[in-house]
Amino acid sequence: MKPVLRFLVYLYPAWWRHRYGRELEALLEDSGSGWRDVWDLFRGAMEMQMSKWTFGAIVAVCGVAGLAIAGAVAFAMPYEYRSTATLKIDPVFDTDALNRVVHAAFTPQVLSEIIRQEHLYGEAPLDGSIERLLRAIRMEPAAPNLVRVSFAYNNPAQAQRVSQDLVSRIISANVNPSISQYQLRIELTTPPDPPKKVGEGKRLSLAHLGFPAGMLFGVVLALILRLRRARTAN
Amino acid sequence: MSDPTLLVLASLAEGDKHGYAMMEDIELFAGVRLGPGTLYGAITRLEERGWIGPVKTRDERRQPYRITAAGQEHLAEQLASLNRVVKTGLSRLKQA
Repeated sequence: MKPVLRFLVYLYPAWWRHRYGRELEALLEDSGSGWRDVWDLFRGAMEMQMSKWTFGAIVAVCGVAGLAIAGAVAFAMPYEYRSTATLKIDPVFDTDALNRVVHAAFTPQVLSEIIRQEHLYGEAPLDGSIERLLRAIRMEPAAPNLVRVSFAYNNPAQAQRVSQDLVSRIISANVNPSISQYQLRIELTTPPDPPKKVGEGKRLSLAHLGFPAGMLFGVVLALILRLRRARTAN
Repeated sequence: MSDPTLLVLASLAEGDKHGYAMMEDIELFAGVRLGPGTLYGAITRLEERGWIGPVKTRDERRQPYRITAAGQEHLAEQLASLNRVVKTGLSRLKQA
């Protein structure tokens, strides 16, 4: 504990350490310090550093810190891979009919079976996992009678397998006698492609958001410090 | 009363003390343990305001501080203000 606290003393500005550094070190030797003091010293050091900074300097430093933190968080996020298959719907693209087929294909039982088979989403509760699975499925029209079905996951092989499973289940549900009344003919035209990395844009947006967010925080912090200084000056 | 600068002034009103002695005294009379960063933040601000000053000593690592006349005046004002709040609060509690 003591080495950590002694290190934190070096976070204080040089002018401050020159005046109070040795006294603070003596106090740390005399008092029984705990983890609470680590935060207390860190906060004290930051406050002392900022006590001589201008409004603009606080805002700029917070902006850069925000960019660094958001960048670290963004690039620590696991990559996602999306595998896409294409289905041909005949005779016409009937959204309502297709929705009924998809609804019949993706029952909670089916989705939980896919989750169990592929061990998706670790130990998360089943309800939450089903919601995540549904959010990761994307269905979009590619042409008047073509629809793209895709699935995104952090493991490319699993993304491709689940994508294959999803289209197979849609096709099977369509030939089910209780569903076939909609008289759609669904066939697989393009099997699930090798998964592509997705979410790069989201990462970059998050990293870029760090700078303005940090600056905004800096403005609030600088205003708080200014108010506190004005209050202690009275 | 949790303003660290007031607590330090109140501690020094009794006599000169170094950092650790102030920490112990404040814990005893106010039941508040000031962390080392908070204590030295308060000492820095009070010295800048001229409300406390260092006392000459041979052990510079355990530097004692003394409350100045301006510091005593400020403390008296703050305590009088707090006293008014306490009295008003107590009398209102009795009426309730």
